[in-house]
Amino acid sequence: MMSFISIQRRFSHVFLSITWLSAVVLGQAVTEPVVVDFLGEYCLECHDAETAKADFILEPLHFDFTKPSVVDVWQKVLEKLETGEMPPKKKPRPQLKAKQMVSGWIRAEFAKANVPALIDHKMQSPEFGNHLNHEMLFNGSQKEPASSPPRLWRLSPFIYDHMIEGLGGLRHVRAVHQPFALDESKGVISDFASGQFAGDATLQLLVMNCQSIAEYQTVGISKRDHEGIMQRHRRVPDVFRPIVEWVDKPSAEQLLAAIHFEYKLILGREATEPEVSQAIGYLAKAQANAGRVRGFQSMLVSIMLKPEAVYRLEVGLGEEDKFGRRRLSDNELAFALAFALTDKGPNKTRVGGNEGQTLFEITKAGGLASPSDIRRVVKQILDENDMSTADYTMFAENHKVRNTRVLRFFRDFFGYHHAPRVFKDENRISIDSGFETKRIVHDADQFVMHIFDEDHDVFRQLLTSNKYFVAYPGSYEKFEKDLNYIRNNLNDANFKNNEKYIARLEAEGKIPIPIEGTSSRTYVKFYNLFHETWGYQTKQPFLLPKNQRAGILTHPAWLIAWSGNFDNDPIRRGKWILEHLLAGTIQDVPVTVNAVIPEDRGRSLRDRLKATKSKECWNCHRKMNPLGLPFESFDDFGRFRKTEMLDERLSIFPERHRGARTVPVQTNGEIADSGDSSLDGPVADAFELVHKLANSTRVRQSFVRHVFRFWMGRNETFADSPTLMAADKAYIENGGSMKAMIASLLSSDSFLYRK
Amino acid sequence: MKFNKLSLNRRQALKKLSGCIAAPLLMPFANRLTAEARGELPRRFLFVVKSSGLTPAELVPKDLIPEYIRPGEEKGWPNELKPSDKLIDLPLAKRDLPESLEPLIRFKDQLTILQGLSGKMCRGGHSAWYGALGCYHTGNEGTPGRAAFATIDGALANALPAIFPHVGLTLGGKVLSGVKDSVVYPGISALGPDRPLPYQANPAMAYQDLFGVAATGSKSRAEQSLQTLLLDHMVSDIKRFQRELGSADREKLNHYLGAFEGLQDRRRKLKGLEAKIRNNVPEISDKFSSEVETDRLESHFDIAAAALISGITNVAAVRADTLDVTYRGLGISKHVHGLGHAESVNGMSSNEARNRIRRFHMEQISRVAAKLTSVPEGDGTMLDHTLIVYLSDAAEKHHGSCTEWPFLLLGGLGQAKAGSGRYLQFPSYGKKGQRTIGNLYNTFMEYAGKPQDQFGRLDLNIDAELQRGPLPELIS
Repeated sequence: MMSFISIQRRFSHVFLSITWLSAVVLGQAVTEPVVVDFLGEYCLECHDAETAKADFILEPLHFDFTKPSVVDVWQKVLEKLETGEMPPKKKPRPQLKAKQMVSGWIRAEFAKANVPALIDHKMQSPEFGNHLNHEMLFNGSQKEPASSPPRLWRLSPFIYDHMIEGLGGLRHVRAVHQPFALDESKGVISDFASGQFAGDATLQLLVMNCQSIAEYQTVGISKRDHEGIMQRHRRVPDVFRPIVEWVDKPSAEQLLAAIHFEYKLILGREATEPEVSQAIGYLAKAQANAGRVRGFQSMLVSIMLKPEAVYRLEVGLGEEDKFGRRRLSDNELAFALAFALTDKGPNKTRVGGNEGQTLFEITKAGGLASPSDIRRVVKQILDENDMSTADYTMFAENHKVRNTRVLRFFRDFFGYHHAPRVFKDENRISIDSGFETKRIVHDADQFVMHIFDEDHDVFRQLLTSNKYFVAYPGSYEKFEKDLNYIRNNLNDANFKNNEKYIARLEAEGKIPIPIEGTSSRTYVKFYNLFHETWGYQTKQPFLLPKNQRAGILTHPAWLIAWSGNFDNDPIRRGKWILEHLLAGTIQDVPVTVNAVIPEDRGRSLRDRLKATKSKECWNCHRKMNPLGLPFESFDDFGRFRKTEMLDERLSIFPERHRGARTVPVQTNGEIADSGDSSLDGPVADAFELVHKLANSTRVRQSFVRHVFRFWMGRNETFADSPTLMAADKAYIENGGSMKAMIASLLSSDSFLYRK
Repeated sequence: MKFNKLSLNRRQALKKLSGCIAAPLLMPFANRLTAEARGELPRRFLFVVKSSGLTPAELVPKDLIPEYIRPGEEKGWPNELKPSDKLIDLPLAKRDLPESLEPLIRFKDQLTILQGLSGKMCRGGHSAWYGALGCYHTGNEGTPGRAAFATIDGALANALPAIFPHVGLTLGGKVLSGVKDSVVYPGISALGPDRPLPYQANPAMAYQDLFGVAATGSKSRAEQSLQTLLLDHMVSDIKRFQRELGSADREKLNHYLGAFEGLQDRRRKLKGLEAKIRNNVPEISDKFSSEVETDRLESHFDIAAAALISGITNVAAVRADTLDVTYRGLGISKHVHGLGHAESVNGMSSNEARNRIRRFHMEQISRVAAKLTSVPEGDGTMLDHTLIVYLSDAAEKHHGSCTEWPFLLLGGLGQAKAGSGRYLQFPSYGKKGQRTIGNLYNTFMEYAGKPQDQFGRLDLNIDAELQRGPLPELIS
């Protein structure tokens, strides 16, 4: 093999290109000279030694794949080719087939040298999703039939929690701990199938949990209660009693019933014949070793530890089609749909109200045979799904947050639920800001879910609606109950204050906020409402001034989540918009850059950010700052403002800093090089920005890409292009229905087939 | 005699351990004792990896500052180390440590301040991810990328097998994230290609993971054989499942299978010792479940010390912080990220705040070192056979360039020159005689008895030969 070939110079392109072209046309084997020609035509103009764009130089080109430095170059070439990032938009692009041949050749060389293609690894990470060329995904040029790879998807902590909840009172015993976790980076979809596995780190805990469950199902678990008295917690299924409690040896039927029971409870299905004999064989050995009950417990543990109890199985056990794809089997489909829409298995997901059939029954009866069947059922579940979850209803225990999975998508996508994790100095706000920001997150949850429920023009509403929820407990009944409590609870330490507050508001003909305690009520200030005088709205959502609020990006929860400890964070806000709404990418922070915002608090933040206009910074910051700076209309607690307070600020209360110097906030910004020319141009403020974004096709498509990633648990590939386009179309044709979009995705080939 | 005396000493020392780990596991690793009896003393490593860079200028002894330090390029930034074209090797004995390292004064004769190594084969920026301990380029701003090779802690875990090959404890997850409460993969340690190592962020869970095997260990022979039966059954069940499944996501099942095999292995090694261990399992204190960052970190250092002293591991790693962590317990109300960007806080300059954090880390390292010193081992103490390595995954600054990569080495490994009361600074990048972190990791492998010529990748811009082999300056 040639170890080195110098790429021919540009003047010979015409001749050279014939070589790779003929290879494409004639289907000849791709050889090194063919690859050299290809790179010479499409890459060398910018990446020769002289031009060296982005410091990436292709000449001389080496072919010794045993050398790491050589492999590094080819890794980059492969990545740029397969993501469609290169050649850039304005340069001639190679034919798809030629590109595939060259990348196929690189992959073959990698395989020979036993080198994994890094692009495969990167493409599994949610942060890398946008590197796939956006236009090519939506221009209809991709015709390959879609499918997902066969896969195992580790249970999410939420599914595990639900499974434990299904076991009855075990949760309260606190003998079971969460073995799984998701790494929740802000603004990133956390539950990707590729990133989650059950290994050494979780097994110890998992085994202990299973042992506790087995004890709970047989002899019971002893725990001290809050008064220190030992209590026994036990829930023995009836079918276990002959084994656990009776003196006589259980019959074969009784054993069979017990095994099937546990399989159904844990795996959602009955045991197969070989599994039954395996379990019986194991039980005999275990009981011979450790006695009747202990042996039985061990058999239960062996079922609970099966790989299927830890990983969701989506390998494609159905029929193979002419493209070599296998459809999900009925069983796989039932689970895949149930977990796409809920945290419950298909046996517990009912369609058509409490009396309706379970998803499992519908599947078994052939009710999910066609994509239109699936769409109908998905739509029905999304309409009916009513899951109250403890974690999302902190301040309104009776308020049921519907469609938990959907809410989780919104949280992952917008990242607003990170607001309480942004530490704000207590001195600035007088009380623990975490407490107040949790309330704001709850308001934001209701904001997004209300729009989802309305299901009309969802994306535009999310970005522009000024119909907000503030301190809403979920229903009028709950409001009355809360207010009555405040009015009548004489034992409350805040009673006198509350009484005065209620009397004052009612004297003015206003309704009091149904939150007890002055300091808790103050949180409405983040919406520019004054807690002492604001008349509470019992009918929610209600309109906030449209020159102050427009959509989730102007919601205090989002603004706080994307702020710093003391300041706004226009850079990360801009980066979020670029990556989440404009399908853009930003290069890593160059190692030579010491990014620092000058601390001269005598100047506005916008002014201080001018430091990023230096040559080495601006190339990236020009993409982010102009998108984030319009949000200077708000302070770092999300309060709308017209002036920015200068100098050292000890608290966030302007009344305590009456003499403070201020400057009017400057709110202009710009969308530049977005990939959608109708979108590019200056904006006067955040309100113009979000309305402009809400009207853009590219922005909507970018949203579809993220929805795809969440529900498929992976990044899109070019083969998913038809799926993405169909989801976008379903959304538009149904009046901006996100439910239709989700139904389209969950009935697509990308969801249903494995290859 | 040696065997019994040693057991007794260690037991007494374990009982003296401060905080919640009052008396952890007692001598669980019989093989090692046999080795010790033969005169082969164990070797242990504790890696402490902070985020946001370790400022070289802040590690220079006070009297050397005028000669070795120059002001930072921009106002507000830390001072810098002056470039040097020669090897500087000075004793620490009569020198005053910089303020943030003062908690280590007691161990000055076992401390090496190591400067001037480069790591330009790594990514740099907010984190070199696996590269920091692995010596290769990987990852991007938000993700660690692929673990292409074992990192040094993983390689040492392979070289120095124990019941728990590697104990990882952390405050946060990935570098840009905040405090976590479960098992996470911070993307800095790997046992081999595509085998990232987990870190436990919850001290109470870490306790369960590490000492739970003993705590819930079998009470009787019947119970022991039942556990063996279960694990054997699960291994064959998973293998059967793997066969049925074919090639689909084989890696994930391998992880699951590997976990059972690891547990089998652990139980085999624990055989006969469970009852003894169970009698000595530590009590959990409130600090384990505290939400204050400094409490959690203290708990992690306690657990790491207990894990090393009890012999259940030879390699522990503490991920001391991530960029979204705020050290509220130290009166610093700005996250590490902001401090890294030279933002002042609560009347402190960012540098003062960073020094305060470093000092806190040094206090923790000093506590661990004191515990190790209290346990006699061979002719000396456990610290003589343990090396504590302090570094940052972002090399020398918040957005590391990896041109220089400072380390603190504390302890011995029976190598008089490992931690040896020295200020050791190699010639700067591009100067004759310069060396890389690869050389340092080769040195560690040599300490572990597994010498190798090259660790990770080479920096292609400098002489390859210089990057091979260990650092003779650190080999006795």
